[in-house]
Formats: sequence, structure tokens, C-alpha cells
Amino acid sequence: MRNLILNQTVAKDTAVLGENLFTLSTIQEASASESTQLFGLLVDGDADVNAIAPLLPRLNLIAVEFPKVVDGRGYSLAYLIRNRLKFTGELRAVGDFTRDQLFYLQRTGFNAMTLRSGEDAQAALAAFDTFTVCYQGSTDEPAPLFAKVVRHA
Amino acid sequence: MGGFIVMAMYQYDIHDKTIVRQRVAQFADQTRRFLAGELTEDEFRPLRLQNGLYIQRQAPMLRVAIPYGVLSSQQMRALGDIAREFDRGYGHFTTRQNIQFNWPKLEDVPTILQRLADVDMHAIQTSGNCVRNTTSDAFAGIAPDETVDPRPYCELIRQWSTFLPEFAALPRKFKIAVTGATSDRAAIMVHDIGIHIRLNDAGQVVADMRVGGGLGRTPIVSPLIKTALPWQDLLTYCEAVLRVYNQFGRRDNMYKARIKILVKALGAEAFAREVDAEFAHLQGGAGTLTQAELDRVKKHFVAKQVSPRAAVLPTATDSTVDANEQAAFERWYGRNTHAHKVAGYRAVSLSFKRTGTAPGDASTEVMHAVAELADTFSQGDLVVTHEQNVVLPNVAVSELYRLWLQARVLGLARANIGLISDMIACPGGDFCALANARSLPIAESINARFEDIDFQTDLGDLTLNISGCINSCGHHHIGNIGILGVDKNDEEFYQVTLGGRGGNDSKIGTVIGPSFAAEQVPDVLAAVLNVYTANRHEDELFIDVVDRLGITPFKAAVYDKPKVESSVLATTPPTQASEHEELGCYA
Repeated sequence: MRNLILNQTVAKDTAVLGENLFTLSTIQEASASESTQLFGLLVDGDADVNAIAPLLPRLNLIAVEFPKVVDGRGYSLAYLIRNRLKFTGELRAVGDFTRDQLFYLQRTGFNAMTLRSGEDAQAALAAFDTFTVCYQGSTDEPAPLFAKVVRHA
Repeated sequence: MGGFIVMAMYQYDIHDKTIVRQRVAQFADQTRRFLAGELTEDEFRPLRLQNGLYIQRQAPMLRVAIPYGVLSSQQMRALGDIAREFDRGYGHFTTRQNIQFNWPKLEDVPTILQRLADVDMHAIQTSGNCVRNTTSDAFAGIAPDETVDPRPYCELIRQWSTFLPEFAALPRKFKIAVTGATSDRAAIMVHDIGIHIRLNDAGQVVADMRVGGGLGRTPIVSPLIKTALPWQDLLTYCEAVLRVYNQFGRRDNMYKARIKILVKALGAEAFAREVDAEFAHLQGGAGTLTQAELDRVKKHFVAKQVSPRAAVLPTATDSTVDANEQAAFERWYGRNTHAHKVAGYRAVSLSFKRTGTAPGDASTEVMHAVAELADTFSQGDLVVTHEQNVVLPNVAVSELYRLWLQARVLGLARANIGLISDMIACPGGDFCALANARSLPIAESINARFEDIDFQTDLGDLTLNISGCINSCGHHHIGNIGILGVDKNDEEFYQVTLGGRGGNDSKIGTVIGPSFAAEQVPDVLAAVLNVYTANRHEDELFIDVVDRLGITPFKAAVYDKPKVESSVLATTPPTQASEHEELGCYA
């Protein structure tokens, strides 16, 4: 059983590939229907952000696949989806990662993560508190530490 | 009385301490879960690597960051303590101004990290495919040819790059080097990003940015892609470089994954345009550095007052000092001490290139003794150099003789800085799981062959760099003489390059021909050096003779000599096949 974390709480996963979740190659049929229903898009970390842009008005979810934990393209894609496309819907990380990546995932703009099977979702939530201080800005907090606090010698 | 203020080291504030402490807790939890079987080896590997922990041939190896090489005596003592308690009583200073412990136990690592945190140190991002420890000029802050002290900028980069969330899983490792001097001593042209901080004509601090240099399988001297970047834009520009690299760097082949391959494939101009397009979104944004932050960081560097004084070198007025002693001291003074911005001071290199000891190795006793020397002679300040020596940055000239006597007792006063025996060598096949061949016995055999210091001094400035494999941690490509360990049918051989150089005129050396067995190497070098001494004009350096003559006469001397050509082949036992499990991340 795979758990979903949404906005730092354990949630129910309602996305089903082919029903309300499509890939860039299958999305044409979903777009062709005149329905005003919103749907989800599943992309790989190397997806071109410009290919996603025209679909935005119809999307309530973008899921980014991490094929391997060491392939960090999804982090930059998340940053671009949030900061360039200004997407405000659910941005979900799926694929190969453990709770140890949750902190970075939420920093770059993911607000949802599908945990690997066997990962204890409640225990994993602690990962969001790994660091209480971050030096640099990212999607979650654009201001770097130096712009936020007064640091004394 | 008035004096100059020299900056020593950056002092952590509560935020810096919090981050390092929380890292210790995070890694302790990860290690516990790994040992309990909750994390697989594949899952744990990238986590431990980003904490400097490799699984090596013999045992785990832990690499500790020494940001831009700067250490206090207190930190040096703590490193010595760690070596004694958790290792076999020694550590190894690397070519990237870090220190490595070769024998810690995995379960002890969280405790070691806690000990490091207690003295404001860590092992964060000292390996793995992320932004590594930023390196700089060992003489930063004191070199007369320096226009801007690069260390506050290094510290700003260190903080920004620590746990950089978007770039924690890059295609490959990423190394940044910074210099603020006219003469580059930080090898900035062979780094992923090389930064030259300088003053423009209006007296403002700006940075020239080079991207895509590196050694390894495809050695490349980096192109300049941005000139006179305002210092305020330093971090956002680096962010733009990394975002382009993270998206477009190759991930299909680890040997083609460094940013140099991307820059080369696109061409420097096209790459620069990509970066500029990304930078346009960031310029002037939240990540832009402020004067207030720069001032704060500068203030966090401990300021030491250094008062100018007359530069009087002690001489042998005392009858107990004989003429030989005086000559030895003066030779050491000429080789191992360096010009200082403040009159009456010198920077002193303690030579960690000793016969019988691997380059850069230091025992607990030596680390403690060096800390003592720093307290006595250099206000507690130390710098680890890219050449694997240790510098005392602020020594009064009048104290040099006393320092020399004490350093000599410790075996750290060999007058060989810049000479053939001041060689750079990676740990090689004795320790590293990646190495094809051993480096340390080669270094030792060269040391033994050319031990005579008069002979070395006569040869003059010459860089000799040894790497145990093509990952090039020993920087053999940019040694005037480079030696590379290669594996042929499970036997160790050594390839020789000539004509490489670091610094402002960085150049990749040329391979002279087929490789040699280990025992041939000293003879090969002797033949090469004979060509030099036979052909040099007065005061002409080795590298200049190689440039002038080309490699042909050297090649002829080496390969046309029957003695070398067909002498006994190596009979050393084959090394184990390289595991390559750590993706070539050494140093």
C-alpha cells in the first residue's frame, strides 16, 4: 500500500492513471472531451516545462516521476512549474525516493508525495522538520536566511 | 599601536550551529535505519555520500570539509583527537583542502559528526553528486598579489550551497573554486565553476566566471563565460548555471555527466546564452546578495591584529649555530616561507611531504603539534593547501628561526616547497576503491630516488602530480610532470605526461608514450630530468624547457634508452577490479 502525503498530512490517493491522470502522450484524448473537468498530468523529470504550459488551465494535479533517487531533474522541474508557470494546484512527486528526500521535495515546490510501499507515513512526516533553518531561498520560502533574520556575530 | 587586521576564520552563529546540529541528528537517524535494515544499500548510498562517507577497500572513509582550507588550532586538535579515537591515529589532507579518515566504523560516524559539530565543522556534501566544499587560495587574505580577499565570498557560497534543495541530485559532482589574487593558486580553470574575484576600474568588486573546467577522462581548461559580474549577483548566477546543468547535463553515462561535457557540447557561447536566459529571471531577485550580508559575513571572520615590524631575519650570531645550520635555515626560509601583505611577516608552509610518509598524511601527534605551532607562532591560524601542506599564515619574521627549529624536530621543515618532492598524490589503490594503481609507493620511490635536497633545489620549481586512476584526484594532467596509474590485465602501470601546468596559464600535459611498470618510474623521471638539466638556459624552469623543446627530446631519452625500454615488467600482484560503486567521487 502506497501512502500519499498532501500538505504535510497523510491523505487518500484518488489519482488513477487513464481515468483522471494522463501522460503527455495520452492527454490529447482527455483534452478533446469538452468536459470542464480538471485532471492530472503525469510527467517525467525531464519534461519540457513549455510543453506543460498550454495545458495548465485544465490541470489540478501535476505528478512528476523520479525514475531514480539520484536523478534530480524533477526538483528543477518543480521549481519551474511553480515559479515560471505559477501553477498553484497539487504538485506531486512519485517514483524512487524515501522519506529522506521529502524535505528537499517540499522546498522545491512539491506539496504532495507518494511514498514507496512500506514507508511509514506518520513517521515520514517528521522529515519536514529535519531542518528548522535554511540558508538559501527556494519555492517554499524565496527569501534567503540573510533577508529574514538579523544575524549577529 | 595601529596595525593591519587579517581575517582568520569564520565564526558560526546560532543559525550555523543549528544547521550542523540538525544534520548530525538527521544522519544518526539514517544510519540507525540502515543498520536496522529499514534502508537498503541503494537507498543509503546517496545519503551517506552527501555526508562524505564512502565504503572503501578497507573500511568506510569519512571526508571532513575544511571550507577553503581554513582551520583554527582548536579544530586541528579536534581532528587529531578524532583520528586517535575513531581511526588508526592519522588522517589524510586532500588536494581539495579536506581531511579524510580511512578507518572509521560506520556506527561511529554519527558520534564523529557530533565531535565535529562541537568545533563548528561537518562533512556535509564532501562527496556525492552535489555542490562540494568550495576551495580557495591557501594564501587568501595575506598574499601581496591579492586584490580582494575571496574568503567572505567563499563563505557566502558555502552557506548558499549547503543543503541546496534543488541541486542535491545533480548529474555529477560539482566543485567551485575562488581566487582573489592576480596569480591563481586555486586551480580555478579546472573546476566546474572557477571564480576570479577582482576590482574593476571603478574599484567595485566583480567576478569573472569560468564554467566547465575539469580533469578526469576529459581534461578541459574552462572557458570564461561571464566577465565582471557584480558580486551581488554571484549566488543567483551560480544558481542559473546549476539549473541549466541539472536539466540538461547528461545522465546516461557517468563519464560524460560533468558540466564540462555539457559546456563543450553546446559550445561556451551557447551555454553562456542559456545561463543568461535563466539568470534574467533571477537577477535582482530575492537571492541577490546585499551589502549588509557581506558586511556581516566579513565581521564573522575573527579579526587578528598584525602590526608591521622590521623584517629582521635572525642570523647565526649565537656561537651554537654553525654555518651549516645557518645555510639550512636560509634555504628553508627561501623555499618554505612566503611573502605577506604586512611588513615583517611571512606565511610558512609546513611540509607534509616527508620520506616514508604519504603526501598529506598526518598523525594525531603531528596534528596536535601543528596546532601548538599555530598557537605559538601564528595566532592559532592554519590553512590546508591544495598541495596537501599546512600553512601558518601570520608568522613574524623574527620568530622564524625558532619556528624552524621546532618544525624540524617534527619533521615538517623539509625545504622542498615547490620542488620535485613536494608532489601531490591521491591515496591511490592502497585505500581507494576506484584506483587502478597505487600512488603512494610511486611517490615513495620518487622520494627515495631524488632525496638529495641539493639536487632538488638545483632542479628548481617543478610540479609532480600523481593520480592512481583517471578520476585524477592527484591532478596529474596539470603537473609539469604527471603520473597516472593505469590497469592493464590486472597489473599496475604508470603513464607519464609532460608540460601540464596549473594557475593562470593552465594547460593539460601531453602523454609521452606507452606506460611503465612501477619500478621503472624513477629511471624514467631521471631520464626526463637529465634532458632538462642538459638543455636549460640559466634560471630556466623545467616547464619552460618542456615548452621550448616540446616533448620529443624527452620522449627520445626515455624510450630510446634500452635500460628502460625493455626492462623487467611489473611483477606486482594484480589489484582487485575497481568497484566503481561510488561513481568516482574521490577528493
